Amino acid sequence: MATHSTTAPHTGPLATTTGVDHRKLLMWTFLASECLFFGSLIATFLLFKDASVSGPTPQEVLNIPVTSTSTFVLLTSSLSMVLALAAIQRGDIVSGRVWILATAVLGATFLGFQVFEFKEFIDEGLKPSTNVFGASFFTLTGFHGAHVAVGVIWLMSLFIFSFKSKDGIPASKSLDVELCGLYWHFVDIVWVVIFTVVYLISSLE
Amino acid sequence: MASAVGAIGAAGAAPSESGVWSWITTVDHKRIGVLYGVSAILFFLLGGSEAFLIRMQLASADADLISSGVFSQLFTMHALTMVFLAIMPLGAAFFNFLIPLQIGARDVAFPRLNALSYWLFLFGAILLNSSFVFGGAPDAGWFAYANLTSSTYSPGDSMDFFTLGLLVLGISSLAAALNFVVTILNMRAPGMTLMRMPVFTWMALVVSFLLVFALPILTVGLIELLFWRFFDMPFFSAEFGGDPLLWQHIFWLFGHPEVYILILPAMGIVSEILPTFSKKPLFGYTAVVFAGVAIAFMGFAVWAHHMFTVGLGPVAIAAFSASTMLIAVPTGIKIFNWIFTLWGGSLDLRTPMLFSLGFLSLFIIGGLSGIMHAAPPIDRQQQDTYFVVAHLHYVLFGGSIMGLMAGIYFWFPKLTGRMMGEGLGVVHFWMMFIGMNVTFGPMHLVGIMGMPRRIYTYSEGSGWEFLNQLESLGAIILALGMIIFVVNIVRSLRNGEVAGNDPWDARTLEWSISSPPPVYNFDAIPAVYSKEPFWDQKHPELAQDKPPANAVAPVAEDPATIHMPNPSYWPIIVAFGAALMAGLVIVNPYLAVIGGAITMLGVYGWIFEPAGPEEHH
Amino acid sequence: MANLKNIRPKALLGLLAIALLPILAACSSTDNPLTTISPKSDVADNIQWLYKIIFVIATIVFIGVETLLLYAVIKFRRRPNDGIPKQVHGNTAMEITWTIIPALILIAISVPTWMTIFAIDDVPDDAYMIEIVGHQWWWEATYPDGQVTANEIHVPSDRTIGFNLNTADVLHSFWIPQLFGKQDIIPGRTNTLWFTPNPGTEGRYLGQCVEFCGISHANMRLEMIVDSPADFAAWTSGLESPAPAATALAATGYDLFASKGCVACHSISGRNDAVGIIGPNLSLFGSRLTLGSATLDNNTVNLTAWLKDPEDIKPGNIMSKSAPIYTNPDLALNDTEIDALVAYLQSLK
Repeated sequence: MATHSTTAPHTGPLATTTGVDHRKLLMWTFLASECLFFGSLIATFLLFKDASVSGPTPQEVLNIPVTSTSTFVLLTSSLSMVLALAAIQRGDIVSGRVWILATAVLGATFLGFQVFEFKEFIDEGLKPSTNVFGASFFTLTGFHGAHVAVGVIWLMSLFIFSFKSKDGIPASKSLDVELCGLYWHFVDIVWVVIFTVVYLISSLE
Repeated sequence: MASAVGAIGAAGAAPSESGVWSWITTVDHKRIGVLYGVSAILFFLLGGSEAFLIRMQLASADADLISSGVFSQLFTMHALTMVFLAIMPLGAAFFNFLIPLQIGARDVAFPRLNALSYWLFLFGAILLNSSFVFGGAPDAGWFAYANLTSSTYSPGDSMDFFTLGLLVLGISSLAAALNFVVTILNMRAPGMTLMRMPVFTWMALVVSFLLVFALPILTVGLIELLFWRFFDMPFFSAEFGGDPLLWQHIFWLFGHPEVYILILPAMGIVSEILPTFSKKPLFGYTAVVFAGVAIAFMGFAVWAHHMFTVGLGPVAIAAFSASTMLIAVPTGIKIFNWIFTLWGGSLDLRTPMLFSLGFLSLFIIGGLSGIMHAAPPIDRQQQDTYFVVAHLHYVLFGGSIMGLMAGIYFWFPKLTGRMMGEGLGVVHFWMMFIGMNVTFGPMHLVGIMGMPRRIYTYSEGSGWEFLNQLESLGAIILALGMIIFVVNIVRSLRNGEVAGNDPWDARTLEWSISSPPPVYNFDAIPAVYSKEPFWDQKHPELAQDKPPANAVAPVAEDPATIHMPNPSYWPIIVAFGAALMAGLVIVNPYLAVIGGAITMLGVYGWIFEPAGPEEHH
Repeated sequence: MANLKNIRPKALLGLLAIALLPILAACSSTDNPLTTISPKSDVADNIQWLYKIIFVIATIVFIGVETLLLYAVIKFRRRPNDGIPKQVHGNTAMEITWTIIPALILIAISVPTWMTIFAIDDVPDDAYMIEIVGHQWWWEATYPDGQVTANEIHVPSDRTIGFNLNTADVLHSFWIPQLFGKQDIIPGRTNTLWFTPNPGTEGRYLGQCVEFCGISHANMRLEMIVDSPADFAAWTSGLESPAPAATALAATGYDLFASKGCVACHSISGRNDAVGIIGPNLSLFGSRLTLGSATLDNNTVNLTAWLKDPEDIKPGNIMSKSAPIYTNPDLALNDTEIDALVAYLQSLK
């Protein structure tokens, strides 16, 4: 995302009382609200995971091996995100573009796994309306997937934007990528929680 | 009047800064504050009209002025309008106008995001109210308990207007909250530590954090309600293993912090007015600030006191009773500190002070009835009766509204350069104060006498007839008072007495600049050495914290070189796209893509809008 | 300008006295059948005991704090030659005092509160359990021996009564203020409540649904009749027995009750053809003191009006919305038919 001037004229980074850039502070506070958002969805899931009156149960449909693979893919994308930011911060234009693209591709792959999984469940008789497990599962993982999708769009926008100039994204604008990284890592951490709560814990019962 | 309004927005600006387009594209926090304030007052009158109709129907037993179906829409929309379209936006108006001025900044951290918040609010409000013409307004109460809100028991679109309208409004408030958190934490003038901030700004920070943490919970609830109604996802359907109580928990986990969101701005306002009109500092600044923070934290631990009668079990009920009673402690701390601010002072009893004293005296009553509800066995007699209606109106009307009115009279001169009429102001105050007590005082009694809430009629012989008549009379007094208020505003804008910088001999930074302020707020960003920088500047011999001997006075900047953010039309486009998307979901979820596309286009336009400094002056 | 200097203490006391009168009036349960401060049972007594404690403490706090405020406003109002007063910033000792004392008061209040919570919660083992089902917008009651009635719920005065609360549709709340505090009724769970009538409290008690449940929520009332044990026994056996022989008009009504389709929704004991469960059970209807879920007295005028146009009395009710005699003008009841049905229903004693 492009910087825009806020108030006083400045050269270089804007002085802030906390020393943290406005946009970074904004992103952190926004992520705090997202904790409550996903927390509420997870709480709903925990309430309902074993409460279904009929229809498939978690143990019947959840596929741990496949989801472990998609989890690994998403975790790897966090690694590539870190590498992307590091590359941009040291002025490595090509690596920066490569790692941003890699993150986007890995994220899209994760989404592909999700789509596959959702199709499988529906074929096995678990639709969002089938029972409360279905309702809470699809809402939770669906919104997580939507967040990943937004991240992929953001990454692709950064990738395309990096070609506006032959210098790519300069180190002075690394905050743009860092903000995306913060968001991306958060979405990844949420997935780790979902994977644990939805898949691993349910399968233990 | 037009010239005064023009003066607000155009001080020091070029001619292109006037006219409707300048208001549509404004990113100036002062103008956005005006937009919020005017809208909020209009919606307050709308919500008040809905209440007035309710009171006319209930004035006599077995009345048939208003049918049950319409009555349900009225009490639902009255509450939704007052909470989301009047009190919250009035708070936002004050936050917008004042926070940069109080912390010595030129604007908020994200001016376009600020504008987006306003337009989302306006379009969300229109979406919600459009339900009246599209098949009926929401009619299941503002709390919309499942399963009355299911597609079975609430067929039609009314509850979808509820869900989608509130989702849009929620995004508006969340964006504003994020903006204010960053602004307050990051843009304070040099030397203004957190413990030197005005209490109003502190309360704004606390409210913003409350919004950040509470709104997402409501969002999830609304999404579940939407999916239940649209896609038969059985979250609240007991026959499928779902639970109607889940809605209640989610709603009140948001709903209780929400009431602190509604009262803290007024508490912040009163914390500024009482010292100014007593000519002495706020008593116990640190305690008042920490009490506000404590109330916010504790406010997340009491939600089930709205659910004492649903069968939670005695242990849970006892725990929530304890936490609810404990919240009275920080509240009491604030009340005592306010009273002792007055103590030993030299009290100026003009209108802002009258409303602040009214706030104090009425909020005490509301707090005490709250203590009664906090005892679950008593609540089993009081819940869902008019005793609760009395409590909530004493804290929200006697508390929030009186405090916000005080703020309007106090800061009107700063905003417009003119004083509000003092004579009409006093009349307005007494009509509000008397009207409030005549309307809501008897509700304590009629609730003890067993009158339930949300009933469109009651029978001869219930014993409630006389008191209801009295309450309706009170509503007439309140209505007349509001008319006087509007008249006062219009007359004052036209030819109120010219105010000058500091008509009240006040204490905080906003009074150190002109009325109305220039578009860039401060010639020189001030250096701050104490909690009351302007007062200490006027009376250095009285200052508790004096500037060091080697303090350098800030240098005024040449206005021509001060670059204010450019106006932008992207916020209104994004807001329109989002609201359109929400509205189209009701018609056909696939059509909502159109709204989504407009939003996406708007977001990209926003991101790539040229940001370079452009000359304004 | 505020005329605070003109307020006379006597006038204030006068106002206070006037304010207190209605409170005393609220104690009268004849004038206020739904009053919450005229307890007639052990549970209601417990609640009243707690209410008095907290009310007294709240009143003392109210008088104390408001007086302090009023005193400050009057004593310290600005006079013409006032300078700038002493700039006091706070007082730590006072802060501690007014933190600790309110906390102690609240902890003190918590003790009787918790005692009462636990005292009124658990249904005693020997309670006489009645099954309550809330419907939009009437109450169904089933007794331990299987008798069913609606809206007028009799209970014996000599034992503890308990209720299992269920709903057939949406949220409701069961409340008879003079006898017990309310409990909400939630789909998917069975809430309970109980009470023991105080000695000598036989009589009629009014109640109302207190959780918004739709368009006729305001009309969803009920009566609880506390009977002496003998009267109660007579009533429960009356619920089971067939109606006695009646007049010719009533006999016509008997036939119409079937031919006009009433039996599809209503049950009447003693009639094998009337076993409908969608609507209220009408056994012993003639003995009931009220109709329309306790909204009207049960007399000929009201019953006739009810049968003629139930929608007018209870908007949205299921009968006027779905019974053919109300939805199909060709099948509407004429006045003679209504008179016959009235006679029949009144004969159910």
